[in-house]
Formats: sequence, structure tokens, C-alpha cells
Amino acid sequence: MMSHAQSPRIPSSLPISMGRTLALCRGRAQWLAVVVGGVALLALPRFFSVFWIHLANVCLIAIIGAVALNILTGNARLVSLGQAAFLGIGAFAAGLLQRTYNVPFPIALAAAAIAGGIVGVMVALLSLRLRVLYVAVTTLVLHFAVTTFFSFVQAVFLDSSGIILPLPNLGFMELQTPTDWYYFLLAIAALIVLGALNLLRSFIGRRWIAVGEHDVAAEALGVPVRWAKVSVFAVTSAVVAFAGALSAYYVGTVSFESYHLGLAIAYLAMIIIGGVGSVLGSILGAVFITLLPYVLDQIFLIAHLNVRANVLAGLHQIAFGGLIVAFLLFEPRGLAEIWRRVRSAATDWPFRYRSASRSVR
Amino acid sequence: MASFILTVVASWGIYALLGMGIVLVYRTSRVLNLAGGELAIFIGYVVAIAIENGLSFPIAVPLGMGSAMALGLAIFWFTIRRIMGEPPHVGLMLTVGIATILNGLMIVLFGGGMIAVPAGLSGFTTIGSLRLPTTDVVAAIGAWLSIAAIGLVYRVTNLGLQMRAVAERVMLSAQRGLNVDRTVALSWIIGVLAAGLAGILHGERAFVALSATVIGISALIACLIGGMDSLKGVIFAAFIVALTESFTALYIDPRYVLIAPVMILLVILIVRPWGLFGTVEEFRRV
Repeated sequence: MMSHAQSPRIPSSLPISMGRTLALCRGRAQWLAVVVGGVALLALPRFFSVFWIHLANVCLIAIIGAVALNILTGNARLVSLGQAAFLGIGAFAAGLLQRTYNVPFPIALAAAAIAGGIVGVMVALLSLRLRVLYVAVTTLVLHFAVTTFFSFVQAVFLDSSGIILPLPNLGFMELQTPTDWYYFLLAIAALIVLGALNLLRSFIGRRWIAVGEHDVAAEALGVPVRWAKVSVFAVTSAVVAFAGALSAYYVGTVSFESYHLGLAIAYLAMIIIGGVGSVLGSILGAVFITLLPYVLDQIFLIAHLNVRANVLAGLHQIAFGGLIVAFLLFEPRGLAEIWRRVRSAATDWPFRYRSASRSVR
Repeated sequence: MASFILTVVASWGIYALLGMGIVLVYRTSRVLNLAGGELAIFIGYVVAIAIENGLSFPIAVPLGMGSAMALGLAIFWFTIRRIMGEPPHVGLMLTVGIATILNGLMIVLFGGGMIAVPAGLSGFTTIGSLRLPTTDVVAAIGAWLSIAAIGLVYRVTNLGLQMRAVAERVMLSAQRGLNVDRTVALSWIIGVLAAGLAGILHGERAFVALSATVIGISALIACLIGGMDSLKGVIFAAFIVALTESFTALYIDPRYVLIAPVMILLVILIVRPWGLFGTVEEFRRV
């Protein structure tokens, strides 16, 4: 209290009340960063070529999937190897509905999310009684069951190339160019990110985190553990399936070959490298992993190394795996933690750290 | 019919051997090794490439075994040692990372194509009135000899006793003066060796290729059906997996081979999640 009396005014960035502790943005600097960042994101298509906008779109879809996976695996600590399966469920649900009934785009997306949620509840009910490793195993079983089912469906009922999707129509506009897609996906990704941040600071998200930290302790404190596990699986699976449907419409085709185990591993790599249990980490990791192959290719191009495409694919995998292992061993909190350290080094300069009374968070 | 039985026995042996590697490692270090198939096929590639470069089969196999043991020690020393005692999902994701690295290495170093491990064996062996493919006979004999050898080491020798002690109670065995780190390292060496042998035999019987890493999934399913911490269980469950896979390939469609064991695992997960022979106390229900 004395220190407050001595300082002439309390900076607006200090979390002095419960409301401010929970606030997503504290202080003028953070608001300014959000506004500047938002404007930069909105203006991005004006300054970059179509190729980069396309990459940004892929990143945005990956962000939606990674944010959901990170809540499931990072916050509720239910390791899921079924990411590719859920993406595929969304894509096939939307694709089959589009093909058979020619349903409008928004309804197909909603149906994909519902299908993902239903399968998520089924997986959750199966893994309710089990611990961490067996949740991973259940989702692995789901992966093989679902991908085999899709390859069966595709071989028996569809063309060998899968389902071809039309240009999506939002009702008031058609998504034709990458720029159209960019604004559409940016809006959705922003909603999902905000939704995730809000969920995690509400009682629902706190229950999920409590169950992830220690399920027995959570139960003892009155958290409905079963309900929390089922709900976290339902919500995140619905979002992942939604991302799968979006990505299917974006690419224009649905085929079971796209949903291999490597895709699930790439999403795991995103959240490990980005930062387990952090929404910012999911965003950083999704962008990092999506851009990594292109950056590597550019490096080889600049270095004038003639590498065959096949070998290049191998080098991508080595980089993927190496980064997963390195981050797990040396920086388990990922890029988000590196970012936090850089930021606090800048804000606390010339000191190494903040005094205890000023760093409540 | 005889050759169908031999196919089942050979793949049973290979899955059981690979599964043994996964179970040994799980018992001592509590790491669920998802990289089993990659480790196996990587060693299979080492042997295949060595033979392609002029080494003879009897020299190339010990070379492969040696590199498997070195790989096991390296994996323990550089990664597993640092995450001992961390929550289980860390080890799981670590092996996913290792599997991805090995996959990339197989492409970069060995081309990732489909190669057989040429043991110089072909044609048929005649036992009484039965004509059996020699490669399958060799694979079955090799796999079951390896299983017997590893099982014997685990049951009879001092090292095996130490590994079993660490699997029972880490804390207590450390208090009794057992070098836990060394024992876990040993279990990784033997585990990767078992996987490598399975990979060599699979290559001898069929081929090594990136797609062949799927034997790791079959072996993992066998481990889970049998119970992650039971050697008896994995040998029994490997039989179920091999049998259902062979039946599916023969009577339904080779493309859907994996789905039959997956469905059995699903039933097991519902009625007996700790596996047929697994320890029940492992699980805590909420």
C-alpha cells in the first residue's frame, strides 16, 4: 500500500483489480498494439502478391484448427492424435452434403461443426475412464477408423479424386479470389481466437484447465469432471471439423488422402512449438509450421543448392521432428514464452525483472 | 492352407518382437513409444543398403543390430534421460518427433523407396509334403528365436531382473542401490534392438519402404490389446492382430487390413481398457 501512496498515479497496465486481471487488453500500449495490428492485418492484401495472400489464408485456417487443438491438448491435457480425423470429418460432412443435397455454404459449415461435435462426444465418452496415454490411443484408433471409412466411402460411392466443391456463396457475395477468402477467414479466425480467450477466462474454461491440471483435485473441489471432459471434446472437435470444412472449400476438393497421420502430427507440432496451453502460442505455432516448408525452400533456392523434391520433403520432416524434440526438451512453453521474455526484457529495461509488488500476473 | 498359417506365424512373430520392444521401453521409462515402426524400418534400411553396397547378409545383420543398439542408446541419452519423470504426454510427443525425424532421414539417406533385404534366399523349402516359401520360414524362425532370446534375458539374467525391478517400483529399486538410469538405458537399447530385428525380418520377408512403417501401428495395437505393461499380453495379442489382418487381406480387401485389429482394440478399450493382461491398478477412474 505504501508504494501506491508514493507513486503519483497507478499505470493503467497494472492488474490491480479482478476486472483488470481478467481483461484481455490492459493499458494504452496494448490497445495501441491491437489497433495497429488489426489495421496491418486488414491492409495486408494491398501490399502482398496473391501467393502470399494464399499463404496467409492457409495460416488462418491452421490457426483455427490449432487454437482448438491447443485448448484440448494444452489446457485440458487430453493429447489428441485425431486432429486429421476431425478435419476429415468436417470436410467429408460438408462435401457429402454439398454433393447430395447442394446445401448452401453456411449450412454445410454448420453441419460439419455439428458432425465434429457429435464424434467428439463419442470419443470423449470412450476416453472418460482413461488417462492421458489412453486418450491419445483412443484418438489414434479414431484416426484409423475414420480414414479407413473415408477411403471406403470414396472407393465405393465417389470418384477416385473425391468430391469437387463449388465456389462458396455467402448469400451476399461469392468467395472467388484469395483476397475475398482472406477477409472472410480473417473475420472467422478473429472470432475463434476471441472466443477461445473468452472461454478460457470464463468458468467453463477454468473447469477445463482445472481438469487438465489434476482431475482428482478438480473433482474434490466440485468441478464436474465428466461434464468438463465431454464438453471440451465436443467444443474443440466441432471447431476443428469446422476448420476442416473451411479448408476443403478453400482447396476445392475433398479426398481421404489429405487426412493422413502426418497432418495430425503437424498440428501437434504447431502447439508444441507455439506454446502448449496458450492461445497466442497456437497462433504463432500455426504460422510458423505453415510457413516453415516455404522458408526452407527459399533458403535452398538462395543457397543455390540443387535438392531433389523428394529429398526436400525429407528435410522438411527432419526440421519438423527436430523442432518438436528441441522445443520439448529446451523450451517446453514454446514461442509464446520466448515472446513473453523478449517483451518483458523490453518493458523492464534497464532492470532484469519487475519487482514483486508490480508483477501480480 | 499351410502357407497361410506360415504367413500368420511369421507376421505374428514380427509384431510380437516389435511389440516387445515397445513394452520393454514402456515398462521401465513409462514412455509410450509411437516410433516403433519407424525405428524398425530404419534399421531394415540400414541392412538393405549395406547389402546393396556389397556386404554379405551375415555381416550386414550384425551391423544393423549394432546400429539399432547405438540408436537406442542415443535416443535415451539425448532425449529420454532429460524428460524422465515428466507427465506422460511429453514422452509420447517426443517419440512422435523422433518418428518424424527418422521418416525424414529415411528419405534423405536411403531414398525412401521400396527395397527388399536380399538374404540370398528364394524359392521354397520342402518339409515333408509341404512346400513353403523360404523367406517366410526364415522370418518366422528368426523372429521367434529373437523373442526367445530377449525373453530369456528378461527372465533369467541379472540385467533382466533389474529391468523388472525398475518396472515394478522405480523409487524402491533406486533405494536398493540400483542404477536406474543405466537400467532404463539398457531397456531402450534392447527395445530398439527388438524393433530393428523386426524391421530386418520384415524387409527379408517383404520389403522395406516408408509405407512399411505401418507395422509399428499393428505392433502398438497388439501392445494395447495385450496390456501396455505385459510381455505375455503382447505376444498373445500379436497373434490376434496377425490373424485378423491376414484374414482381412485374404477374404475382404488388402486396403482395409488395419481396420480389423483397430475394431478389436476399440472393443478392448470399452470393456477392458488396461488390456487383456495389463495391470489394473495402472488406472485411476474419475
